[in-house]
Parts: sequence; structure tokens; C-alpha cells
Amino acid sequence: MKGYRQGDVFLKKIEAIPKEATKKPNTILARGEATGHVHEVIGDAELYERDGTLYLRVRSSVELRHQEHGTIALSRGAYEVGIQREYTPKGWNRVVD
Amino acid sequence: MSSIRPEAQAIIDRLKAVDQEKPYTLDAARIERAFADHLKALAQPCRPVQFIGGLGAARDAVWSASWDAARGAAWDAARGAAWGEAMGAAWSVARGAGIANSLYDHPKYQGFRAMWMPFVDAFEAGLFVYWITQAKVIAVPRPLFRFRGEQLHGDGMPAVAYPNGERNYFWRGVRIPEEWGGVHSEHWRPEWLLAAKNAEHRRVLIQGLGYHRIMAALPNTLIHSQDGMELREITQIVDVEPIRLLKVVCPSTGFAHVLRVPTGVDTCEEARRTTFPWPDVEIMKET
Repeated sequence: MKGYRQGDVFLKKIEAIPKEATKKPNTILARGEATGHVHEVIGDAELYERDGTLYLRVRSSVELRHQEHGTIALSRGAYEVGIQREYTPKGWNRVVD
Repeated sequence: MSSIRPEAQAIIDRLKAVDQEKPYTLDAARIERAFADHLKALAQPCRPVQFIGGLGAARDAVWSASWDAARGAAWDAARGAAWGEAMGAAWSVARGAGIANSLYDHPKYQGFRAMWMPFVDAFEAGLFVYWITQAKVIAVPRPLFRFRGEQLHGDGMPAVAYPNGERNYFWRGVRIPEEWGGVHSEHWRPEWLLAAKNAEHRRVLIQGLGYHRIMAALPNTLIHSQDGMELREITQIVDVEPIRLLKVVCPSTGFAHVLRVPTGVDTCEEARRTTFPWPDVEIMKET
């Protein structure tokens, strides 16, 4: 399985987006609470959500951009979005920035 | 190639000439005239302008005003009006500049111009954000901003200070807790690293204090180091189990970050992998 990473945002290629996923109005994968910076997909792509998990459909080549991190080119296909996590004795938490 | 028309450039120049680091300057009468002109251009009835000296207080007032107007409607609608519909004066000025630059030959240009140009005056007169509710306009005067380069920044002092005493603290563009922001960075405390929940706050603490200074102050053991990463265990008992920390360096920014990892991992790369949402995925590109 292959994937990409931009800061605390990860993407992995998947076969298909779950049918029950609903379309989001933008293509922002994550937003920093402290900085307001965003991980945003620019180009012909759609973002979906199901049970708190984001899925990205890229229709042609697009770019994943961020104010501080380097741009990542993404090819056509379906992706699942994941966020870096951090250990606590009570379990794993998503990294919040 | 696009070019900026003289009228749009004149607006941009007026915007840039406003010194946002100067103490409060508010010309209430000029702002009231600007709103009267804006509403007239929209063919809307004029309404009084209420000035509120802080963003939080203004949101509360908008919530009340919207709730009064929307009595009987969903509570969320009123709350949404308070939190979602604030208009920035600078944004409104930018809209005026955009219209002046690109719609100058539109048949309704003069109408558009009459709607948005009053905000150039209002911005110069000290308007920061505003809400137009059914009964009144709620306006927040521009707070005092402190910048370091282009980033909001105050060391031991607020980077954003409203006339009513509301304060926001920023360190090189990152909003930080008041408990940190009110203290000069020379007096920040290394142990804050262990309590901070926000990864960007930890990064700021490392940048402000220095990673080595923090580690020199916290009793710890170096478990492993590799390619700029460090895996350390804090030997001071501050949690139900020992705290094992991984230091990594961002390939894009060069900033050091620290993440807590399980006590069972003994190498940096193994520890790094535990922080991935899918530890087995092969990362093709990382920035």
C-alpha cells in the first residue's frame, strides 16, 4: 500500500470511496487550530466524509498545498485521508496543531 | 499579463497606509457615514451603528440581536449569524479594489462601487469587523496589532489587543495560550512541553526555549538517535507511566517537533512509525 505525507496529514491510495460517504463543500483536508494554515487540494478533486473519515477523489492530477509544507502532486484515483497520531496511556489521539 | 488599474491601486495604497501597530484611532462619525452610504447603495434602511470594543463581546451582542430578530426560529440560526457572518473591513475594501480593477466596464459598475467604496473610508477610520443585523450594525474597532515581519507576534505581551481589554497572544504567527503569551519567552518553563496538548504549541516552545535547553532542564535518558531524530524517556514521574518522547525535524520547515510514543518502542524509526495512521503504508513522498 502506497501513501503520501504532508506534515501531519497522510493520504493512502484505496480502491474505491465508500458508497455511503457524503460530499463536502470544499477540499480542505485539515486546518491548523493555532496557525489557521490549511492542507488543501487544488484542482479537479472532490472530498467526501463517512463516520469521521475523509476520502478524496482525484479526477485529474491535482496538488496538495499548505502554507509551510512542500506541495505534493497527486494522480487520479481514490484516497483515504489520515491524521498523524500521538500516544497517551489512555489510547491514541489525533495530533492537534 | 494582468495589470492593476489606477483606481484599484489607489485603494490598495490607502489600505497599506493604515498603520495597524499604532494605538487605537476611531472616527465613529466617519464609520457611521460609511455604513449609511453602503446601506443606501443596497436600497436598505439605515440603522444605528453600535461600537463594541472586542471581538468576543461583539459576537455575544450579535447573537442577542440575531436571536431577537429570529425569535421562534432555530437557535442554531441565531448562533450561526453571530459566528459565521462577520465581515472584515479589510476584506470589504479588497472587494472594492477588485471591483474597481475588473468590473470598471460593467453596466452596473457605479452601483457596485457605491456599495463597497464606503469601506475604504471606514477602514481608514478604524473599522475592523462588522455585522449588519436587522436592527443595527455592530462594529468592532481595529485592535492594536503587533507584528514580527508579516506574522502576528508578541513576546510577553499580546499581539492583538482590543480596546475593551480582550487579548490574543501569538508567537511568530501561532496563537498560543494566555498563560504562555503573557510571559516573556526567556521565562518560559521547560515542563510546559509535557503538558501541552497542541503539537504546534510544543513546537513554538521548542523554538522559543531551544530543544537542548528543555532537555537539559527535564531529567531524561537518551534511548536512541538517528538521522536528526531523538528518542528520550523523561525519568521524572509526572504521569501514570514513563513519558517517552520522539523528536523529529520537519523536512519542509526545519522545525523540531516532539511527539509522545509508547514506552515499548526503542528505536527512532520504530517510534516514528507508531505515529502514522497506517504504520505499514509505504510513504512515497513526505514534505
